[in-house]
Amino acid sequence: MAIILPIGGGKGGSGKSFLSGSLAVLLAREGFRTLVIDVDLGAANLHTIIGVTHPRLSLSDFINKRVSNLADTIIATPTPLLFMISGAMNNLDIANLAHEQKMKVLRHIVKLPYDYILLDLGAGTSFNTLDFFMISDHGIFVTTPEPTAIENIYRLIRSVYFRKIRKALDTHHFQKLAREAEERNPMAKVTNPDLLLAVIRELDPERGELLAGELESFQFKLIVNQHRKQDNPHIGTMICKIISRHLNLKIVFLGNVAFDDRVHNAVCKTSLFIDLYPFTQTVHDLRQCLRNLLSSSVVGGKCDLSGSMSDF
Amino acid sequence: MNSFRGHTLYEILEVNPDASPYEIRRAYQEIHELYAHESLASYSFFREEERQELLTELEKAYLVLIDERSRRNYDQRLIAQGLLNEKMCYQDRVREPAPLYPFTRDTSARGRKLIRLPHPDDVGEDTTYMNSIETDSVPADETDLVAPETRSTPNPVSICDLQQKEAISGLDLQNWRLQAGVALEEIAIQSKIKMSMLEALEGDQYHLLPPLAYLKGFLRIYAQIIHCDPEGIIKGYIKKLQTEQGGSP
Repeated sequence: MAIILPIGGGKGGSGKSFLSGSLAVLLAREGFRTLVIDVDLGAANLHTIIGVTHPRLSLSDFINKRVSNLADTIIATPTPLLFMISGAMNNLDIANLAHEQKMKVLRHIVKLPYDYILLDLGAGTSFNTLDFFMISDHGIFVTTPEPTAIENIYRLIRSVYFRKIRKALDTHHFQKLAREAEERNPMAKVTNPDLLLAVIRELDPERGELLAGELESFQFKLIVNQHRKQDNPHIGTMICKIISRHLNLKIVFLGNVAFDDRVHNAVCKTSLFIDLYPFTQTVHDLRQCLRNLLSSSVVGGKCDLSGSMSDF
Repeated sequence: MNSFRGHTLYEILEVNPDASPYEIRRAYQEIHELYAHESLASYSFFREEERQELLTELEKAYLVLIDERSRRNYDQRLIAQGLLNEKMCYQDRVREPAPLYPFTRDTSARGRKLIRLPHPDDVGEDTTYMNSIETDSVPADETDLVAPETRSTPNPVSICDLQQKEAISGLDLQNWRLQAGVALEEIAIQSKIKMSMLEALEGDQYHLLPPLAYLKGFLRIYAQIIHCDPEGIIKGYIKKLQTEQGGSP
């Protein structure tokens, strides 16, 4: 079964597509059969970054039932062993997937026979993004060392956390407990998940542990992109510390990726930055991030679609 | 928001219960950087009042732990609650400075004494002088390179030899060194004096020797390693050197 790595970040322009594309190319060159899927459905452009200018097929062909199997929308890229499903040429209304369509896509993704499947997610915290992010426990968050991006990343992490708690509450018939918790402490709503968890733990230690265990299954990763020389190099470690201290989440810092003006040149030429400028700090950082990712015990992309999500 | 409730002050600052005040100060600075108002890492993560509350708790933790008396009281409370073991507490042990030279490390501990050369004043009291020398019996063939900690005491130099010598040549030094069972390489390792310099010392190659001040230093270390009286050796060697050269070097 493939290891699924959703790559997301709250803010647009923080380099999700660039990182997805670059990491995918590096993984393929390491000899892994890699698939990268562009699920930034409203604004897909991953194909350009990995050197496919006119994708023949895309995800919309599957969603609109022009092809019956998601595997048939996979196209080859100039890099051997690297394949992609483009999100380009979509219908204009496709950015808002219906729930059943989304579930169908998720079910198909999990079955694809690859070593690694990378999902390039869109910005923001729409349910589309969240559900694709939660397909696996190994989500990678991308941020830049700027308050705007950090604000959005915290929002995204809380949203994922919130949705997970909500799902766990629904599956384990926690509603009554959640109501009790809210009565005890009016601040302990589902919208304030950390406090809710604390109150539930006080009310019913056993179920509280169960819930905490659900949250512990996450093994998130963080990459700080567009890191300039004058930025604090420890900002990523500090963010991880805040998250693990105050949300009961495991999160590993994979590294900083240096900012490089020439990424723009590579994108304009529609060729790979890794090939155009192979000896830059940025490429070195990307390799280091990949090494940290591979060594940080990626065990297997678990997909859990059992919970009902129909109430969203 | 999980505040710091339910955590010990040590957990809040992420230090061990036996951390020194220095470590506590460092830890406080690091953690404070996470929660400070202008912190980029926690930007927008906390509401303003939450942040203020956390900062207050953090500062309280620091002030308790940095003060010796309040920290001891706090430790006592933790011990009473069974959260801390007495042995894990911080004890302000004064550590002795590490010795400069490894061979001076355990001289006193093993009861070794330096062998002094006869001093003009000593002439009348030879017997007491003899008694003051402790002769550890060690096989004379022990010339291997052994770490100074594991090597047992070298053979002391025979007193008659030392007493008879007024001026000391490089050959005398070599003889005493061999008697003491110390290889030249070992002296080079311990003293960080170059082998070529030690060979020049023992070979009486006076033109290769450094200025007097350095030479004295080298001789002193050499003498200490082979457990001879440094002052006597220095005096004798320089006397010999000056008579050979017919003037000051």
